[in-house]
Amino acid sequence: MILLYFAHARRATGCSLEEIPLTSPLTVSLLWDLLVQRHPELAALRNVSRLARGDDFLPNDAVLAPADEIAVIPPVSGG
Amino acid sequence: MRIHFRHECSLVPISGYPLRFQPPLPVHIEIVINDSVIAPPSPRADSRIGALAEFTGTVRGEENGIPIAALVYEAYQPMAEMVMRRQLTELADAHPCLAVRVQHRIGVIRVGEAAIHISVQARHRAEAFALLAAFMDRLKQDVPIWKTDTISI
Repeated sequence: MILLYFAHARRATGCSLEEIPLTSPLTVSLLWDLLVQRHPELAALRNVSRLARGDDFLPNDAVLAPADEIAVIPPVSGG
Repeated sequence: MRIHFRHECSLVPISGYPLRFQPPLPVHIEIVINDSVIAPPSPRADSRIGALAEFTGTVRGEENGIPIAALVYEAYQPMAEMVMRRQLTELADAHPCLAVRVQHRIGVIRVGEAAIHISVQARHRAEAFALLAAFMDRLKQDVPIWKTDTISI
């Protein structure tokens, strides 16, 4: 799975992109658990950030495939 | 009296169908996200247009009470464009407009410069104002663009 990190999430992880090897599907909630385990600094962002696939924000029970590209979207502040 | 009568007749379209049965108009959408200085574009040439509403959002000279020289913006560009396009298409159902152009600048933007410019063209002002205001609200909720840094004076 490819993870994309933006803004505060990039600062928390120290990278803008990483590949996480997965062999089976998992839910958004389980992916967050995994991400926070890898990058403890993401814990503070978890409750205010969303995950997105393509142009869709994903609910916590959405199921993700190992080949998905998922973006971590902290609170937006455009305009 | 004759002039008044003609005005009333003009409310019926040439096709003869009542106005409420007209299909929704397709809205022309243009979205630009880049690091170029924003220059408001020329209005589209379309004789149906009777209203042009514009909004320019500029960088203020302070952030959280602290004077600044510039802000740094970042976007998840493909998603930002798709989300804006979807929002504008949905809003145009409620507020039928003819054309919308959005330019959002990213990178370093100095105080006083524009971060965003939106132009909405419609037949009448009410739908242009309504779509513009509703779009700015939705942009600030769901479009993946961020102010990531401030540059001090």
